[in-house]
Amino acid sequence: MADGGGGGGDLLSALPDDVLHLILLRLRSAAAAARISVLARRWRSLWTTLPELRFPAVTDLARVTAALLSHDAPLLHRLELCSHDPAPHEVAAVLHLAARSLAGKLLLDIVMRKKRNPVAAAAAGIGAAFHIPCFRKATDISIRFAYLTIRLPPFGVFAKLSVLRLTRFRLDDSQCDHLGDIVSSERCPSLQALTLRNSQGLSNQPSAPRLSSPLSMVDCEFLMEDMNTLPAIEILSLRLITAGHAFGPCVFQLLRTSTGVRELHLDLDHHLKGEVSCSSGCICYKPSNWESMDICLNFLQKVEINNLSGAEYEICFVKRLLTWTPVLKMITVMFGPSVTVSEEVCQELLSFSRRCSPGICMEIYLHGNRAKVMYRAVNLKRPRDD
Amino acid sequence: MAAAAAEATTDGGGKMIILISADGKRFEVTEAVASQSQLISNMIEDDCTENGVRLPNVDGDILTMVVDYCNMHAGDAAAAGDTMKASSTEEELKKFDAELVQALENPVLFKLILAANFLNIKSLLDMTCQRVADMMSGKTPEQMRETFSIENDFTPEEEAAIRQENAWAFDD
Repeated sequence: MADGGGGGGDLLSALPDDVLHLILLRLRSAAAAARISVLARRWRSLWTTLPELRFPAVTDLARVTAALLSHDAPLLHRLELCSHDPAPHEVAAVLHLAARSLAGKLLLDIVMRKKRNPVAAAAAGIGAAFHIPCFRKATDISIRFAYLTIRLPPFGVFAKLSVLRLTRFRLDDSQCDHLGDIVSSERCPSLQALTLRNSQGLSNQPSAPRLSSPLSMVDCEFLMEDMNTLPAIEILSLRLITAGHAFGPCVFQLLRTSTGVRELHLDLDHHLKGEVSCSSGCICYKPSNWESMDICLNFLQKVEINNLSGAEYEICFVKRLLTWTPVLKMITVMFGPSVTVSEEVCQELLSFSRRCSPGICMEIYLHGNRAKVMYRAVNLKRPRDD
Repeated sequence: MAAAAAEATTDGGGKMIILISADGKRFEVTEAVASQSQLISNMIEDDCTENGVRLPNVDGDILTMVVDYCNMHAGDAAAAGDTMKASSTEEELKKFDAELVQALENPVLFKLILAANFLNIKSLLDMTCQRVADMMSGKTPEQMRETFSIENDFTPEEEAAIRQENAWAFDD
């Protein structure tokens, strides 16, 4: 690149600001972009108006705070931050600053590399909860915590938020209720997709959490069409790691607040089976009213349940579900590969569905000889005249 | 121009568009090729390409490169039509792009960036901006000034003050 001034003068500095921004953004880090400020006057404050800031691997979050304080753009469209072993109060400081100007996407990845001894960790404030402020203007928030406990903001409206993804986080009891509150139509009026992955709702005391239960929820995705009322979820897909717990009450709770749902997909994951042997006293049986209380899912037309273990409470759940679904057209029930299901159970389900509504088509799939086979398709629609 | 025109006449469906550079060179390209430029695509939609599209701030030699690029990449956008040489594979495209961008020297690189920005050809703009970013990374400010012939108009004191101001970005 020895063509120094060969091209006649400094054509680079003559490029318009927005093009220079594109170049600075391609340096991939806010620090690299900020270091350009010493080149010449033309470059001095270019980085401060960058629409996006990236901090790829920061250990000292005070630097990010300093950067955000100098950053001058009225709106920030993207903030990307990967932080190693941060203390919760440092993260809080950064998020607090970011919340003022972030009008786009937040990507926060917290990585804990060190196993600290508990005393030292407590001294450094490591064990404390991560406080998440209210992002009034952000449209998309994705945060990966390293199974740390998070605190959600007690008030404030996430007015523009359409996508919220929280991964690997813990909620303590008081926060479980809170999560349902946050993703309500009042607090998140624009929310269209919510993904909660690998969450741990730590419920040792039997209080009744609204969203999380002792089930780890892996991937629950809500797609909402109608922005005005939150319960207008149209497609509800849940992947549940049951770890031996009953999932009925938890799903019941979700359905109760999402009565507009048209499609329901349940994907059960029984790995960790046997790790927990739960009794009827277990939190997963709360709220117990789900077995007697009726809800009306007047729009639910399609249900798919995958990987049932055949346990009695699962069959109970399917039957409960059938009583809530007056317009159901299609229900597919798939048992897991290593499950043997008796003829009676299948018959029972089929005849139950028939009794619930004559319009239902139920398909049951079993695994026989390592292949998935349909038990029997029963279409109970009245035969056509011809 | 020759290449563009030859290719264009064999293309069945597409209408032809004439692009006219600042120095009056004319390039005949298909709509599919030209619409990779968002600017021209909008003009096509508004039906104002009848008498050719004048590009008063793009020189002929730069427009040649842009047209070559668009011809090469027309396959991605509109995979339809005859095969001929337009059926460039992904690998060929990558090779073409890499060679193009590597060959770019300072003044031409920046003129091409300006043209890509003006014509609004996102992929070309991304690629050329990335080239500049790559030329910057790993360099000290002094080396960068040298590479891009940037004149340092700071006094040493001013420069020190800026480093101080942005200390968070400097000390590692």
